[in-house]
Amino acid sequence: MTRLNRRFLAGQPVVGLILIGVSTSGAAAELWTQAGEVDKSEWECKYCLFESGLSGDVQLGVGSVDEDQFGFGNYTGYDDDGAYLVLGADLRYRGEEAAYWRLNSSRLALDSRSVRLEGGRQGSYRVGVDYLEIPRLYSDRAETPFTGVGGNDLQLPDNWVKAGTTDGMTELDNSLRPVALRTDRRRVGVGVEITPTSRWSYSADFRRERKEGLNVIGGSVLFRSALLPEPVDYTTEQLDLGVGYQGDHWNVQVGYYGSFFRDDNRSLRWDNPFGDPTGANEGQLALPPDNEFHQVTLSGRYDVSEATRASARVSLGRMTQNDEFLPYTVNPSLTTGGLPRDSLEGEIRTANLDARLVSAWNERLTLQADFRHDERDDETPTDSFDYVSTDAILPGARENRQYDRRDSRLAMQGRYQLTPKTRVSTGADYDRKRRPDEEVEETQETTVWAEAASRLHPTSQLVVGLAYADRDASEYRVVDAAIPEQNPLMVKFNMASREQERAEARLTVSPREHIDFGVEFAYRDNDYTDGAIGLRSSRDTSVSFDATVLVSRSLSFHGFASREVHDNEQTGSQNFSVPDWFATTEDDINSAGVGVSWEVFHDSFTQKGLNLSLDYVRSDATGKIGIRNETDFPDLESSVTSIQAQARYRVSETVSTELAYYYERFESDDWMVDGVEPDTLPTVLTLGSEGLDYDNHVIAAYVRYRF
Amino acid sequence: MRQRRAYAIAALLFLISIGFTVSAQESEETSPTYTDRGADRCLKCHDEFSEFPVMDIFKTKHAESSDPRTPFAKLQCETCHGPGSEHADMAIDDDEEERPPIRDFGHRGAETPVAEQNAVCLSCHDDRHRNDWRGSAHQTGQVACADCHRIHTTHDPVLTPSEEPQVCFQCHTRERSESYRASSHPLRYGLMSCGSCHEPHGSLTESMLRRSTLNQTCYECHAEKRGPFLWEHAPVSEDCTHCHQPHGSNHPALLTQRAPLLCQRCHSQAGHPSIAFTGDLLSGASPTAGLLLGQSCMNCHSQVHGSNHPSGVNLKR
Repeated sequence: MTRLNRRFLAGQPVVGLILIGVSTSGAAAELWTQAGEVDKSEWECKYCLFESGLSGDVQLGVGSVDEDQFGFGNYTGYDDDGAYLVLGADLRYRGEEAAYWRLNSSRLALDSRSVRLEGGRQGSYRVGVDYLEIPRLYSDRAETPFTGVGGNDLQLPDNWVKAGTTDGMTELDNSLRPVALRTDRRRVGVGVEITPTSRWSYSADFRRERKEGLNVIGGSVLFRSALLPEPVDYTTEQLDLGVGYQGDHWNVQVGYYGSFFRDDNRSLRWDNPFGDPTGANEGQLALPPDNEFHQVTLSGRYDVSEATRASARVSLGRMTQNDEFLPYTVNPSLTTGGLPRDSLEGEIRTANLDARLVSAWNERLTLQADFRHDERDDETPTDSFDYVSTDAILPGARENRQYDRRDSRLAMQGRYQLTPKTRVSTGADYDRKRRPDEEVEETQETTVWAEAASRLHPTSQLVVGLAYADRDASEYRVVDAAIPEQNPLMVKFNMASREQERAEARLTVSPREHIDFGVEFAYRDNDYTDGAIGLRSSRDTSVSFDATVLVSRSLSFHGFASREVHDNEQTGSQNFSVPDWFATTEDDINSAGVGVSWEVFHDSFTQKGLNLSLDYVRSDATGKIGIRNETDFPDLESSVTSIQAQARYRVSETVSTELAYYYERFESDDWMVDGVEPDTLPTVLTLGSEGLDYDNHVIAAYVRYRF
Repeated sequence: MRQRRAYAIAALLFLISIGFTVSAQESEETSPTYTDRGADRCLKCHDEFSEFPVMDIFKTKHAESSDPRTPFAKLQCETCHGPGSEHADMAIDDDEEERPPIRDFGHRGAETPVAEQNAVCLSCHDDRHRNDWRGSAHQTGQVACADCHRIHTTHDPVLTPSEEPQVCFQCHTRERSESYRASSHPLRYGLMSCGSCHEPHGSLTESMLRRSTLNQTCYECHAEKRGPFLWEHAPVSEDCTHCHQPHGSNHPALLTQRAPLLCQRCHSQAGHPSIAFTGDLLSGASPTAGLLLGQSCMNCHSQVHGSNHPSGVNLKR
């Protein structure tokens, strides 16, 4: 830990240089100041309708989901057809002496329900409770021959016939049982913030989340694999504590963050459905181990003057994991030595320093320096472990490895108001990453950038930005214990020398009041210049257009359209030599949406009225993968069409009847899963789950009572 | 060499900053006055039937006169909008002359400079939650507080987590498009907010993240991937975005690319990691189809986020 702290303060003279520069500035930014004494003797505020007591609105009605479609329930809770209760509330209470409560809830009858309750006394304390459910649905078309699904011991039927390939598993069809792959998160949070004086504040937030359900995990034995329903039974608790003090021109906070992860399943054992010459009749996977993270943070700011502010945050953290090890293998025919330890005693220390100095040098010029430093010290002990590959063979012992990392970044920028209508900014960033335990010990990246923002016309603005980054990597070395070894011409992209170019432009035009158009363009190109194998380049290009038109106070339109293209080029070598294959991938996404909001009529005296709204979004994505001079993969296609419409008829000042309609269609063509039945692949027993295509409607009618 | 270049750039910026001697423009001296009756003058016109209805502010925290920090415990409407006598004194039916403006809020259409608008809000809200506002992407990008927040309403969508993404998407159009991809976080469904990961009022970390690093931010919801593991997968513990695209992807699990090419970016060992997988190999009868279909490389190497199994060195256990 001492080593960490010392590194924070050492060797950063560049920061000192900038600090001297900005602190000599004589000019100060002109801040808005409050008016002085004002004669308020006749300020009665008799028209001020201050609210007190309970108010808000509640919604009650019924909705109906057209068809029973599993995928439609992903993130929505609409996976079952038929009627459901529409129940929601947004309640407010304002009491004496600035007391208040607020309750907000939605979708209470669905698996995506949420409730938030917050209350307290303004300026004194705040308490809050919230609850949220998130359904994540993967597939209901999965099938598995295993019994014990949901537990951590998957067994095959007694009459199971093993075979070297799936087509020989004669009892497979008779044994398949449907399984729904989904996980559900249920999160509860409570929080309190107390401000006994305007100087001090105390806060505590606690969140507990349960995640339960089934995921998919591959379990292999030698060169055969079965996709298994993985039990998910996680509990994550998080605690944030904070104490803060606000001075006249400074503040400081001390905080603690704790994360506590618990997995109710330590392992997943399964019967090997394949006949295996090594006698591996079963396999066992480790499931995520329990872990903890503790972090203390000191943060604050100091206003050197009205024009200059310094802020910083220092965090020291400790990640630990000490779950008891599983045995090397569950194959009794294999003999191994003892485990070097009963558990990992894993510990990683983290340190993060972030600091910013920003100064308005004068009315036109602002200078800014940002410094960030992240450290990861892996204190986990290393040992030699007997390695049993897939519960089948013993290729030889392996030693676990530590990964220490340092990342220091300094960014400086200046923003200058060139003319009343034009502002230019420029900056330079320097990033030094050190990975002493990996193939490239050090990379250094320098980025220069410039941006100009100009109000071309009182109603239009153009922002253009350009950036160039050059990353230099130290010599690539083989430190990986991987057997067999990597191709010596491979340089991993995240630590390779790289040239990056970025460009962004945004034009906003408001030809008339309440009519806005925007066009945005973004481009990023990465070229990896080291080595010859692996990712060689990537390019991201996007263009988008958005518009908002308020025809009148009662009628408005909005819309957007965007196109994005992501390209990658990479190489490989089947002969473990120079590149002999060249691959390209391209993801092409086109999206568009339009919406209208129309107040058809509104009677100011009876408060009767009719409002209509409609939103339509369509997004199409195509993924192309090809190897030069070889047969391309089929296109990966996905398409989302979403329509949301609402009609609200206001019967009186307090009552309105509402009709809501929601339609969504999702279609996909994905060669990775489409048509892949459990026995399609000779060497992989899959779950046969396909994509989540759906095409479904929801209609809901409800009454909203406002009071 | 690189370090020298950084020093040189720093020195250059320092010298440039010294060289700037731009005299401040003298601000025009005016002596605005406050109205004689405060909010009552404003509300005579700005009732619920006016073009700019404001009455719902009386249902919000800003209109709590017993809280001495709020506008209505100070100068009422003019706390934020500034002295308004000139604006209010003009007769309603005077069509001949344009009404003198008061300080207005918003981005497009608002005449008051964004910096001045935000200074008004920060005169009360410049607390520890706004320590890093200055110099943040939103501040330097001239985002006005009123671009995101609505004041004269009981319901400010950006403060409701389920509605907040739609506010952010008004400017972040690329992220809106990404939220409609085949694999995405549940932003557009209202089950997750942008604020789950980002601090819109500024933070000192990259992309204005809430936690110290990107991975620490991800681990808030994906704590099972935090480790430490006996067998770490090095790029995973370094940066989740080496493989994942957090705002939405055309590939499962928010992956940036489809396996096996995703894995072959870094894995080039002789044998199956180096095979040139082509469209011809997709047939179920192909001996290599098991490396492509289903979960591809993850059919066997399923513990890509790390393994704690003593025999998990190849991430198969």
